[in-house]
Amino acid sequence: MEISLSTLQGYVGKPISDICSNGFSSPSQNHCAHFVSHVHGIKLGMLCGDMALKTKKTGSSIRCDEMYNRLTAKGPWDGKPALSNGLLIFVLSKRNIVNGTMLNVPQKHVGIHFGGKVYNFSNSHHKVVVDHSVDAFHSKFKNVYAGNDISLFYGVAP
Amino acid sequence: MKNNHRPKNLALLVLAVVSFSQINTVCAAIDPIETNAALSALFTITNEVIPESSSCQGNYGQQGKAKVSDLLAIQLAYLYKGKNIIQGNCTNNQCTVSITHSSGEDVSSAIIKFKLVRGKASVGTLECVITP
Repeated sequence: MEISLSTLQGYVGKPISDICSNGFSSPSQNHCAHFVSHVHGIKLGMLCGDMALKTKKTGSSIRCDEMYNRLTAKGPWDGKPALSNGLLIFVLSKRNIVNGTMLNVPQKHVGIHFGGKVYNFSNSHHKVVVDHSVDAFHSKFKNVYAGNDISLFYGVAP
Repeated sequence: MKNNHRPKNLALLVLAVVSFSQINTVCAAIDPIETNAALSALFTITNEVIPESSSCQGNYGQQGKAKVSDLLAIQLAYLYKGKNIIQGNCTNNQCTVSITHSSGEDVSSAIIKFKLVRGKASVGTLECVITP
Protein backbone atom coordinates (compact mmCIF):
# COMPACT_ATOMS: atom_id res chain seq x y z
CA MET A 1 0.00 0.00 0.00
CA GLU A 2 1.42 3.37 -1.01
CA ILE A 3 1.51 5.91 1.79
CA SER A 4 2.06 9.65 1.84
CA LEU A 5 4.13 11.80 4.14
CA SER A 6 1.03 13.60 5.39
CA THR A 7 -0.59 10.26 6.28
CA LEU A 8 2.47 9.26 8.30
CA GLN A 9 2.71 12.64 10.00
CA GLY A 10 -0.91 12.30 11.00
CA TYR A 11 0.00 9.30 13.17
CA VAL A 12 2.74 11.06 15.15
CA GLY A 13 1.78 11.40 18.81
CA LYS A 14 -1.09 8.92 18.61
CA PRO A 15 -1.43 6.02 21.08
CA ILE A 16 -2.16 2.58 19.63
CA SER A 17 -5.74 2.75 20.95
CA ASP A 18 -6.38 5.56 18.43
CA ILE A 19 -5.02 3.41 15.60
CA CYS A 20 -6.40 -0.07 16.37
CA SER A 21 -10.15 -0.53 16.62
CA ASN A 22 -9.78 -4.14 17.84
CA GLY A 23 -8.81 -3.12 21.38
CA PHE A 24 -5.35 -4.72 21.14
CA SER A 25 -3.65 -1.92 23.04
CA SER A 26 -2.08 -3.23 26.24
CA PRO A 27 0.93 -1.10 27.24
CA SER A 28 2.80 -4.25 28.29
CA GLN A 29 2.87 -5.42 24.67
CA ASN A 30 5.13 -4.15 21.89
CA HIS A 31 3.16 -2.38 19.17
CA CYS A 32 5.91 -1.63 16.61
CA ALA A 33 4.82 -4.27 14.10
CA HIS A 34 1.19 -3.61 14.97
CA PHE A 35 1.56 0.10 14.10
CA VAL A 36 3.33 -0.36 10.74
CA SER A 37 0.84 -3.08 9.77
CA HIS A 38 -2.13 -0.84 10.39
CA VAL A 39 -0.51 1.93 8.32
CA HIS A 40 0.34 -0.39 5.42
CA GLY A 41 -2.66 -2.73 5.79
CA ILE A 42 -0.41 -5.77 6.31
CA LYS A 43 -2.16 -9.02 7.23
CA LEU A 44 0.57 -11.63 7.61
CA GLY A 45 0.55 -14.19 10.46
CA MET A 46 -1.33 -13.45 13.66
CA LEU A 47 -3.55 -10.38 13.52
CA CYS A 48 -4.64 -8.02 16.28
CA GLY A 49 -8.25 -9.11 15.72
CA ASP A 50 -7.44 -12.79 16.31
CA MET A 51 -7.75 -12.35 20.09
CA ALA A 52 -11.55 -12.40 20.02
CA LEU A 53 -13.98 -14.56 18.07
CA LYS A 54 -16.00 -11.63 16.75
CA THR A 55 -12.92 -9.85 15.33
CA LYS A 56 -11.01 -12.96 14.18
CA LYS A 57 -9.11 -12.55 10.87
CA THR A 58 -9.52 -8.77 11.01
CA GLY A 59 -6.96 -6.09 11.79
CA SER A 60 -3.22 -6.21 11.18
CA SER A 61 -0.04 -8.15 11.94
CA ILE A 62 1.52 -7.96 15.40
CA ARG A 63 4.82 -9.88 15.01
CA CYS A 64 7.97 -8.62 13.23
CA ASP A 65 9.22 -12.11 12.34
CA GLU A 66 5.93 -13.28 10.83
CA MET A 67 5.81 -10.12 8.76
CA TYR A 68 9.46 -10.10 7.61
CA ASN A 69 9.59 -13.80 6.79
CA ARG A 70 6.50 -13.58 4.57
CA LEU A 71 7.65 -10.54 2.56
CA THR A 72 8.87 -11.25 -0.96
CA ALA A 73 11.34 -8.32 -1.10
CA LYS A 74 13.60 -7.93 1.94
CA GLY A 75 17.24 -7.96 3.02
CA PRO A 76 20.01 -5.91 4.61
CA TRP A 77 19.33 -2.14 4.64
CA ASP A 78 22.39 -1.51 2.47
CA GLY A 79 20.67 -3.37 -0.35
CA LYS A 80 17.39 -1.49 -0.17
CA PRO A 81 15.61 -0.41 -3.38
CA ALA A 82 16.34 3.08 -4.75
CA LEU A 83 12.80 4.25 -4.01
CA SER A 84 12.85 3.93 -0.26
CA ASN A 85 9.83 5.95 0.87
CA GLY A 86 7.40 3.71 2.71
CA LEU A 87 9.91 0.89 3.17
CA LEU A 88 9.76 -1.12 6.36
CA ILE A 89 12.96 -0.76 8.38
CA PHE A 90 13.74 -3.54 10.87
CA VAL A 91 16.40 -3.42 13.57
CA LEU A 92 17.81 -6.40 15.45
CA SER A 93 20.98 -8.38 16.06
CA LYS A 94 22.41 -9.68 12.77
CA ARG A 95 22.75 -13.11 14.42
CA ASN A 96 18.97 -13.28 14.59
CA ILE A 97 18.58 -13.35 10.80
CA VAL A 98 19.60 -16.87 9.81
CA ASN A 99 19.65 -17.79 6.11
CA GLY A 100 17.36 -14.84 5.41
CA THR A 101 14.87 -15.86 8.09
CA MET A 102 14.15 -13.67 11.10
CA LEU A 103 14.14 -15.59 14.37
CA ASN A 104 11.35 -15.00 16.85
CA VAL A 105 13.51 -13.22 19.42
CA PRO A 106 12.15 -10.60 21.82
CA GLN A 107 14.60 -7.86 20.77
CA LYS A 108 13.45 -6.64 17.37
CA HIS A 109 11.73 -3.50 16.13
CA VAL A 110 10.25 -2.11 12.94
CA GLY A 111 9.36 1.32 11.63
CA ILE A 112 8.50 3.00 8.31
CA HIS A 113 11.16 4.91 6.41
CA PHE A 114 10.11 8.09 4.61
CA GLY A 115 12.25 11.00 3.45
CA GLY A 116 15.21 9.89 5.53
CA LYS A 117 13.11 9.76 8.72
CA VAL A 118 11.74 6.74 10.54
CA TYR A 119 8.15 6.70 11.83
CA ASN A 120 7.77 4.09 14.53
CA PHE A 121 5.88 3.21 17.68
CA SER A 122 7.68 4.11 20.89
CA ASN A 123 6.91 1.43 23.47
CA SER A 124 8.30 3.53 26.31
CA HIS A 125 6.26 6.63 25.41
CA HIS A 126 3.28 4.58 24.18
CA LYS A 127 2.80 6.68 21.05
CA VAL A 128 4.00 7.06 17.47
CA VAL A 129 7.25 8.99 17.18
CA VAL A 130 9.51 10.10 14.35
CA ASP A 131 13.26 9.59 14.44
CA HIS A 132 14.81 12.27 12.29
CA SER A 133 17.40 10.06 10.62
CA VAL A 134 18.05 6.39 10.02
CA ASP A 135 21.19 6.75 12.15
CA ALA A 136 19.14 8.13 15.05
CA PHE A 137 16.73 5.20 14.79
CA HIS A 138 19.62 2.74 14.59
CA SER A 139 21.45 4.30 17.57
CA LYS A 140 18.32 4.19 19.72
CA PHE A 141 18.28 0.40 19.47
CA LYS A 142 22.03 -0.10 19.53
CA ASN A 143 21.82 1.46 22.98
CA VAL A 144 19.17 -0.91 24.33
CA TYR A 145 19.63 -4.23 22.51
CA ALA A 146 22.27 -6.81 23.44
CA GLY A 147 25.24 -7.34 21.12
CA ASN A 148 27.52 -5.21 18.99
CA ASP A 149 25.93 -6.33 15.72
CA ILE A 150 22.59 -4.49 15.88
CA SER A 151 21.74 -4.11 12.20
CA LEU A 152 19.13 -2.71 9.86
CA PHE A 153 17.07 -4.66 7.34
CA TYR A 154 14.45 -3.51 4.85
CA GLY A 155 11.20 -5.00 3.74
CA VAL A 156 8.82 -3.95 0.97
CA ALA A 157 5.25 -3.93 2.24
CA PRO A 158 2.92 -6.04 0.06
CA MET B 1 4.42 30.95 55.16
CA LYS B 2 4.17 27.42 56.53
CA ASN B 3 0.42 27.34 55.89
CA ASN B 4 1.04 28.10 52.21
CA HIS B 5 2.99 24.87 51.91
CA ARG B 6 0.32 22.67 53.48
CA PRO B 7 -1.93 22.15 50.43
CA LYS B 8 1.11 21.30 48.31
CA ASN B 9 2.45 18.88 50.94
CA LEU B 10 -0.96 17.30 51.34
CA ALA B 11 -1.27 16.90 47.58
CA LEU B 12 2.12 15.19 47.46
CA LEU B 13 1.12 12.89 50.32
CA VAL B 14 -2.14 11.94 48.57
CA LEU B 15 -0.25 11.37 45.32
CA ALA B 16 2.26 9.15 47.12
CA VAL B 17 -0.49 7.13 48.81
CA VAL B 18 -2.42 6.72 45.53
CA SER B 19 0.73 5.64 43.69
CA PHE B 20 1.60 3.17 46.45
CA SER B 21 -1.95 1.79 46.39
CA GLN B 22 -1.77 1.30 42.63
CA ILE B 23 1.54 -0.53 42.91
CA ASN B 24 0.07 -2.67 45.68
CA THR B 25 -3.00 -3.46 43.58
CA VAL B 26 -0.83 -4.64 40.70
CA CYS B 27 1.29 -6.80 43.00
CA ALA B 28 -1.74 -8.19 44.79
CA ALA B 29 -3.19 -9.34 41.46
CA ILE B 30 -0.20 -11.63 40.89
CA ASP B 31 -0.29 -14.85 42.88
CA PRO B 32 3.03 -16.75 42.78
CA ILE B 33 1.29 -19.94 43.91
CA GLU B 34 -1.04 -19.81 40.92
CA THR B 35 1.89 -18.91 38.67
CA ASN B 36 3.78 -21.91 40.01
CA ALA B 37 0.86 -24.22 39.18
CA ALA B 38 0.59 -22.90 35.61
CA LEU B 39 4.36 -23.05 35.05
CA SER B 40 4.56 -26.57 36.47
CA ALA B 41 1.88 -27.71 34.04
CA LEU B 42 3.67 -26.01 31.13
CA PHE B 43 7.02 -27.53 32.09
CA THR B 44 5.59 -31.04 31.63
CA ILE B 45 5.38 -30.46 27.85
CA THR B 46 8.69 -28.65 27.26
CA ASN B 47 10.01 -31.52 25.12
CA GLU B 48 6.97 -31.64 22.90
CA VAL B 49 6.96 -30.18 19.38
CA ILE B 50 4.80 -27.10 18.88
CA PRO B 51 2.04 -28.04 16.40
CA GLU B 52 2.32 -26.49 12.92
CA SER B 53 -1.08 -24.86 13.29
CA SER B 54 -0.32 -23.30 16.69
CA SER B 55 0.11 -19.54 16.99
CA CYS B 56 3.20 -20.37 19.11
CA GLN B 57 4.99 -21.52 15.95
CA GLY B 58 8.14 -19.63 15.05
CA ASN B 59 11.81 -20.03 14.35
CA TYR B 60 13.52 -19.80 17.73
CA GLY B 61 16.96 -20.64 16.36
CA GLN B 62 16.58 -24.31 17.20
CA GLN B 63 17.71 -27.30 15.18
CA GLY B 64 14.71 -29.12 13.74
CA LYS B 65 11.13 -28.47 14.74
CA ALA B 66 10.42 -25.93 17.46
CA LYS B 67 9.62 -27.36 20.88
CA VAL B 68 7.96 -25.66 23.82
CA SER B 69 11.40 -25.50 25.47
CA ASP B 70 12.74 -23.45 22.52
CA LEU B 71 9.98 -20.89 22.95
CA LEU B 72 10.51 -20.66 26.71
CA ALA B 73 14.31 -20.54 26.45
CA ILE B 74 14.32 -17.56 24.11
CA GLN B 75 11.77 -15.64 26.14
CA LEU B 76 13.62 -16.25 29.41
CA ALA B 77 17.05 -15.51 27.95
CA TYR B 78 16.13 -11.87 27.30
CA LEU B 79 15.00 -11.11 30.84
CA TYR B 80 18.51 -9.97 31.75
CA LYS B 81 17.62 -6.38 32.70
CA GLY B 82 14.69 -4.02 33.15
CA LYS B 83 11.26 -4.85 34.51
CA ASN B 84 10.32 -8.51 34.05
CA ILE B 85 7.09 -10.15 35.19
CA ILE B 86 6.14 -13.81 34.92
CA GLN B 87 2.64 -14.61 36.01
CA GLY B 88 0.14 -17.37 35.41
CA ASN B 89 -2.91 -19.22 36.54
CA CYS B 90 -5.11 -22.21 35.75
CA THR B 91 -8.88 -21.89 35.96
CA ASN B 92 -11.36 -24.52 34.78
CA ASN B 93 -8.56 -26.46 33.06
CA GLN B 94 -7.51 -23.40 31.04
CA CYS B 95 -4.02 -22.12 31.88
CA THR B 96 -2.22 -18.92 31.02
CA VAL B 97 1.43 -18.01 31.50
CA SER B 98 2.55 -14.51 30.58
CA ILE B 99 6.09 -13.22 30.35
CA THR B 100 6.49 -9.47 29.96
CA HIS B 101 9.68 -7.46 29.68
CA SER B 102 10.39 -3.75 29.46
CA SER B 103 13.59 -1.79 29.52
CA GLY B 104 13.11 1.55 27.81
CA GLU B 105 12.36 0.89 24.14
CA ASP B 106 13.15 -2.80 24.60
CA VAL B 107 9.65 -4.18 25.23
CA SER B 108 8.38 -7.70 24.59
CA SER B 109 5.64 -10.02 25.72
CA ALA B 110 4.54 -13.61 25.39
CA ILE B 111 1.15 -14.84 26.54
CA ILE B 112 1.01 -18.63 26.41
CA LYS B 113 -2.33 -20.41 26.79
CA PHE B 114 -3.06 -24.12 26.98
CA LYS B 115 -5.67 -26.51 28.32
CA LEU B 116 -5.35 -29.27 30.86
CA VAL B 117 -6.69 -32.59 29.62
CA ARG B 118 -7.11 -35.17 32.38
CA GLY B 119 -4.93 -32.96 34.57
CA LYS B 120 -2.04 -32.68 32.07
CA ALA B 121 -1.09 -29.83 29.76
CA SER B 122 -2.11 -30.57 26.18
CA VAL B 123 0.38 -29.34 23.55
CA GLY B 124 -2.37 -29.52 20.94
CA THR B 125 -4.19 -26.67 22.66
CA LEU B 126 -1.17 -24.38 22.83
CA GLU B 127 -1.81 -20.78 21.75
CA CYS B 128 0.43 -17.73 21.97
CA VAL B 129 0.23 -13.99 21.59
CA ILE B 130 3.82 -12.87 21.15
CA THR B 131 4.97 -9.31 20.50
CA PRO B 132 6.79 -7.86 18.68
